[in-house]
Amino acid sequence: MAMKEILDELDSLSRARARELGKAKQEGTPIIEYTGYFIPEELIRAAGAETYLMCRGGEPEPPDAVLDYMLRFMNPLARSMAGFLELGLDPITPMSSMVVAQQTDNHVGRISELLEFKGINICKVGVPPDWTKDIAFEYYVESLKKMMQRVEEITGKKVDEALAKTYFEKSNKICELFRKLNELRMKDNPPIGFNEIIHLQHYSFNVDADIMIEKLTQLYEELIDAPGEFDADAPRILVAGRAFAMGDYIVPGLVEQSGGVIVAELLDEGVRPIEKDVALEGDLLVNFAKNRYLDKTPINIQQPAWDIRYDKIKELIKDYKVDGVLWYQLAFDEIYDMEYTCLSNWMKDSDTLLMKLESSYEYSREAMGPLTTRIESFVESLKEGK
Amino acid sequence: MLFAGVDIGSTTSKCVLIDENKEEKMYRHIMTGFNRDASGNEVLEMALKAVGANESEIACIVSTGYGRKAFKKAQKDIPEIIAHAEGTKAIVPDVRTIIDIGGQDSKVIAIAEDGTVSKFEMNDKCAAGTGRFFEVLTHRLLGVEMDELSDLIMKAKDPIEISSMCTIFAESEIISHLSQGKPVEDIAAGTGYSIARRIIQQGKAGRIPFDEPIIFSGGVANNEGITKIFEKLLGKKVTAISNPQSTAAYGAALRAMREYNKQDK
Repeated sequence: MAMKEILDELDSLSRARARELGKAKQEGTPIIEYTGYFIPEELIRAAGAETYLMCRGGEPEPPDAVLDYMLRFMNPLARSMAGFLELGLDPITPMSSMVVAQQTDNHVGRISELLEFKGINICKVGVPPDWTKDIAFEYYVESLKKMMQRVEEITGKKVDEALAKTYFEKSNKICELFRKLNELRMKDNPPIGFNEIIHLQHYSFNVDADIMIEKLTQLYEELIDAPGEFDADAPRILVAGRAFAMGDYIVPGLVEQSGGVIVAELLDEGVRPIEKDVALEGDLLVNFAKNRYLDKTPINIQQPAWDIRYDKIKELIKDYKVDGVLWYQLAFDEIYDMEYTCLSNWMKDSDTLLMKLESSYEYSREAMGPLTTRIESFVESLKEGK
Repeated sequence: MLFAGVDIGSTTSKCVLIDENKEEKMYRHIMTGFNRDASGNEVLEMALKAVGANESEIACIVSTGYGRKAFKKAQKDIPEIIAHAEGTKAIVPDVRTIIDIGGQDSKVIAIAEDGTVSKFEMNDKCAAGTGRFFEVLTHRLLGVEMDELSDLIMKAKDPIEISSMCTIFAESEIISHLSQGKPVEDIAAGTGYSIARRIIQQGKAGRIPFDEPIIFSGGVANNEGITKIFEKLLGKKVTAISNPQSTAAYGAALRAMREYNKQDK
C-alpha cells in the first residue's frame, strides 16, 4: 500500500474519532481529554474511559475568541484550547467528563482557569520545572495519583493493571516504529518528510493502537527501500520549538515547497516522546512518570535544561546531517524566546544556520507574503551554502 | 542576449536588464499597481523599449519581491533577501552587512565571509522603520518632499527624540513638537534616528553583528542624512549603494543569467 494511501486511510480514521467518542459516550463510557504527554492516557483508558488529546491549533480565530476573558499575551496554542470551545467548534470538550491539563507553564495555567470558569471539570496535573530535585518528581507523581483517583471516581472502576500494561506495550511499539521511520530520515534523500511524520504522530493519538501499529509497520516496510521524496540537494533542516499542533501544517508545507526537507525535530508538545520506552515491570504510573519527567530530553520549561537541549540539537545536527535549524516559536511564548536567545548565542559561530519563525496562527494573505519570503530565503541561503 | 530581473515590490516595481557580461543595460521603475503581474509586464516593457530590444531577446527572466509569484513571465522567482544579497555582492564583493529600507519593509542581511547569507531579519506587519514611516511623518506633517529631506536632516543641530516606535503614535509626538515651535530640521532628523534605531535593534535581535563593509540600499538610501545617522549610531562606515532601488532587480537579473547558464550546460 503506497504511503499516500496509508496516510489517507489514517486521516479518515482520525477524523472519525469524534463520532466514535460520541457513540462511546452514549453507551456510557466517560470521555477524558488531556492536553499533553505528561498525562498517562494508557492508565486513563485502563480505568475504563476513552481519551482524547486536546492539541488543536493553526487557526487565528480560536485564540482571538478568548480575548473577552484575558489579555492576548498567551501563546495561541494555549488560547486555542478554550477558543475552539468558545466558538462552538469543539465537539469533544462538551461531552468530556474531565479535562486533564498538565500544568507546565502559565499559558496552560491561565487557560485551565478559563475552562474552569466556563464550567469544565478540570484536573490540573502539576509538572514542576525544577526537574532535578527529588521533591519535584515526587510532586508530579503525587499529582498523577490524585488525577487517577478522580478518573476512577468518574469511571467507577479501578485501573486494570494488565490492560494498562497492554496499552503501554502498544504505545511503546508505536514509538519504536516512529524511531525506525526517523532512521529513514537520516538517508541522504529521505523517503518521508516531516509533513507526513507530524500527521502520523497526530493520527496516532486518535486511531486505534492496533491499526496504528499495523499501518506504521506497513509504511516502514514500504519505505525502507523506497527512493527519496526530495531534490538531491535539498537543504536538511531541524525544526525545534514548542509544538506543531493538529491543524498547524502551513510552515512545514512551505519549507517543503521551497525545496527544503525537515529531517529531524525537537518538539515539546503534540508528539509522542519516542526516545525511550515506558518500563513495563513494576509500578506503571511511576515508570510512566520517570519516562516523561526524567528519562528524556527535558522540555523548555524544565530547568536546568537549555544546555542539555542544545546538546540534543547538536546530536541531531550531526546524526541527520542538518544544514539549518528552524526555531518555531508561538507568539508570546516568552520562555521559548529566552531559550532562543541562548541558542542563537551558542550557535553564532556554528556552520549551521539558525532562523526563528514566530507564529500567531495568522495565515492571512498579507501574513503569508513575509512568511513565505522568510522561509524561501532561509532555504535558498542553505542551498547556497551547501 | 539579455537577462531580466523584475522586482515587484509592495510600493514600486523595478526591472533591470543585463547582458551576458553582467553589465546593466537598463533600469526602470514604476509604482506597483493592484495587479502585480501587469506591473511586472509594464516595467519590463518600459525597460525593453528604453534599450530598443524586444522580449524575444531575453534568455531568462527571474522575478523577486512580494509580487514575484504573480509574475507569469518569470521562469523562476527568488525571495528578495537573496536577490538583494546577490545584487549587492556583485557591486561590493566584500560586503558583510546589507541594510535595505524599502517603501513598506526593511531588512538587515548578514553576509558570511564565503559570500552566503548567514542571517537576516525583516520587519513584520509594521510600517515603523520603513519608507512609509518617512512618507507619513515628514511629507505629510512637515510638508517636505522626500528629495528635500536629506538636506533638512543634515541641517539639524539638535535632533528631537521621537520616542514612539509606532507610526501612529509618532505622528502625535511630531504634531506636539510642531505646535511647540521646534525646528522642522530637528524633527526630521529625529524621525531619521527613530528609523535607524529601529533597524539596528531589528538586526541585533537577530544577532547580526553589523560587520563592515555595511551597504545601505532601498529607496531610503537616497537620503544621505539617514546614511550619516546610521554611521553615527553604529560607529561604523555605512555606504549607500549607487542606484539603491535597483539592487534586488539587479540580483534577480544575475540569477537569471546563472539559471540560463546552468540549463545551457
